[in-house]
Amino acid sequence: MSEKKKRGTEVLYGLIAQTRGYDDAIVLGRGDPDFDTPAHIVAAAREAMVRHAHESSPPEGILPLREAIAERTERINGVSFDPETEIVFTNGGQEALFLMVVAAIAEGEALLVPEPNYNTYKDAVAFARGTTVGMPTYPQEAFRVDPARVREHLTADMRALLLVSPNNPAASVISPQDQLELVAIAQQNDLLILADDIYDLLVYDDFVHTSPASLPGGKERTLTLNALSKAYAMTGWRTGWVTGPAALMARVRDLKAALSGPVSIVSQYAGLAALTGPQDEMLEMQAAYHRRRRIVLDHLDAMGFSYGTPQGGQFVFVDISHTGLSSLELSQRILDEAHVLAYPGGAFSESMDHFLRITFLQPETTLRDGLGRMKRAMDAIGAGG
Amino acid sequence: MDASTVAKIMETHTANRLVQAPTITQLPANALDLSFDQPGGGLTEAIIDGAISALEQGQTHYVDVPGILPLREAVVADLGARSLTGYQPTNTVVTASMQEARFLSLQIIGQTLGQLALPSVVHPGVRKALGVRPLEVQWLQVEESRGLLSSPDTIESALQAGAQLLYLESPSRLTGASYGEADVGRIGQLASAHGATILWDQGLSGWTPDDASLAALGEHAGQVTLLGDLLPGVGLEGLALGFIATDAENVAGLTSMKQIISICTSTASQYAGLQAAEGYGDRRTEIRRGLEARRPELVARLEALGAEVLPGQAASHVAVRASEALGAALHAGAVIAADGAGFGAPGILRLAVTADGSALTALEGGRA
Repeated sequence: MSEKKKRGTEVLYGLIAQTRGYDDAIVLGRGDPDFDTPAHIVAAAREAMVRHAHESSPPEGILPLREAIAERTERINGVSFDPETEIVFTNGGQEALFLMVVAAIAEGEALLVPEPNYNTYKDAVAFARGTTVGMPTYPQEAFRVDPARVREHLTADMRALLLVSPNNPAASVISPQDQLELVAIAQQNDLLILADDIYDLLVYDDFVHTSPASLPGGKERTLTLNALSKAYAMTGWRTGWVTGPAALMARVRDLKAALSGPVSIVSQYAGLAALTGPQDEMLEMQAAYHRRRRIVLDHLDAMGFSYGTPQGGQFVFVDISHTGLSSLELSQRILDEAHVLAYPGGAFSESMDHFLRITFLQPETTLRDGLGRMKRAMDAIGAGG
Repeated sequence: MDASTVAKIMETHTANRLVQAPTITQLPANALDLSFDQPGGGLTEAIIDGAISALEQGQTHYVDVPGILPLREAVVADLGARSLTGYQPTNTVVTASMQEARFLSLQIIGQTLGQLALPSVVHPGVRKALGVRPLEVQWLQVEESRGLLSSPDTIESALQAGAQLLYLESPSRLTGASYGEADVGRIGQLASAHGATILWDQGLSGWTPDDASLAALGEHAGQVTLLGDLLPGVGLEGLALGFIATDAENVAGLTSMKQIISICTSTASQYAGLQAAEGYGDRRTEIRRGLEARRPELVARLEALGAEVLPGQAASHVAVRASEALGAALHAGAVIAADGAGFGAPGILRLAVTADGSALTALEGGRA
């Protein structure tokens, strides 16, 4: 794996470890919703332990779960998948990501990766002995994945495009028109698309999530990951999936068998309950994220920060250029002085070292407290806006 | 998509597999499945209540990548109780299945150390894990008289030929044959002498009473990374838990890769495992004795069918050479056995021993 990116991941884990030393720490960095998993899903887990613990599962997961995922992708994303051959259930979005990358990228092949991005993409490509071609996006363009710029970054060894929408950590959403153009680029150049739809239910204002697989010519060349972790507050259960055309999914299925075999049968039934059970708590969580986003943006405005207005996801990517500090320096100082953790942008991309990622995955009172402390720390550091 | 793209991916896929590892036959609806890797058992109410209580108290979030500390402590305590001393919770990783333990240990430690030597007869999951990203591999001959284990002499030759990493199963995942105390001691000494590391799958060792060989293995903890199913036999198999117990040098790379492939292992599974650790040693002994009581009956029945039973010490399984008469009996009883072809031993079948005697009943035609 890339030593540089490995260090990025380790930086984040090092900061998380430091927060454990503070009784009053407020974590505004990690992508782990503060909500506990809805009670009916935990009840389904009990039922699974009683009734289904002996049940065998194929590596891709039990069929009723894959059928529920097929129904969900058709309803939410507008694309149909055959539950028999086109869906593999995984240990969270993380394993889905890894499987997707390793299935698509062979040694010596390249993945186009818009910057900034979630660290693990590069780690997975490095495992596959492939390469990444970074493509910049810019805050003044709201971190748009510009199709014209994508064309400029195509290389002879390129195998696939990575399209993460809403983006982590930049919180930008790829517009339907841009998605159409990106799919067309993939078609014209015989490229695969690796789509990360994990935040597809979390878009704001008038922004619209569009799955590349749902567009003409998209499904046949797109592997898409999704997970229940973020929308249903199920990070600890490890419940995600990959969808795609049967020929590619055969490869994903074989890799899943080689990597870890089937996901815990209890997590599978919990996932089934999440997808088919009451949705009211999930919707309440979504509403809370809308409110919290506003709170965070108001506090950032008061602190004089500029940022790309988050179009989706659970975070804000905040420009700290005016502080004159690197993202890690500022993150560390805020943590030391205020016991508040915001993730350094440099851990996501070298070129994003003048950004912090702030999540809104804390209760409103905690968010206000954390952001208030952060303001006092910024004033003390002399870096207030 | 252009046919060439799919073709290229599939070509790479095929090339990356050292050997095709067939999937164990899918089950007919009314079959008695005796192909499982570990003895079955229901989760007790205490295990279920303990796990659900933790979930209800909010343990539904990410946890530490190598696993919750109390569970790692329980794993190490269980190893210690079986004479496998020298391992620390801080150097232990809880994995999202035994297969994830195979994948991580082979791919990460294997990548670091270079040439890997392993017996030609191993669990199918080993070949699958190796197929994801090829390593330099020496396949070692196995001996029928040893229950398809490789001899220490063969292992020594591999080390002399440059192997820096050994992957060994004892007991064998196919036959249940295990190395005795003297062989374990010699293999440990050979690894020391050649500066080699051993990945030792001891997942079936709970079903043998041979503490002396485990103690001999424990003496070489510095050379030996242990892997196995986490607390097998008490109903956790469907919850997909495994572990790797290693040293400070290896644990960082394993933890880093674990983060990359799955962040952490399911908390529902981990808290069930933690509850299962209560009194596990006694429960395992009880299960082992139940299996030991049943295994001779099954062996006798198989031999009466003209089957040749391979040597094996683990009470959990019986491996036999396939024959026409045995095939007919399995078919009549709708019994599913694990196919040795997936292990690298075509013509061998593995049947799991069941404490309730259902295997024997099926082979006696009771279910025909």
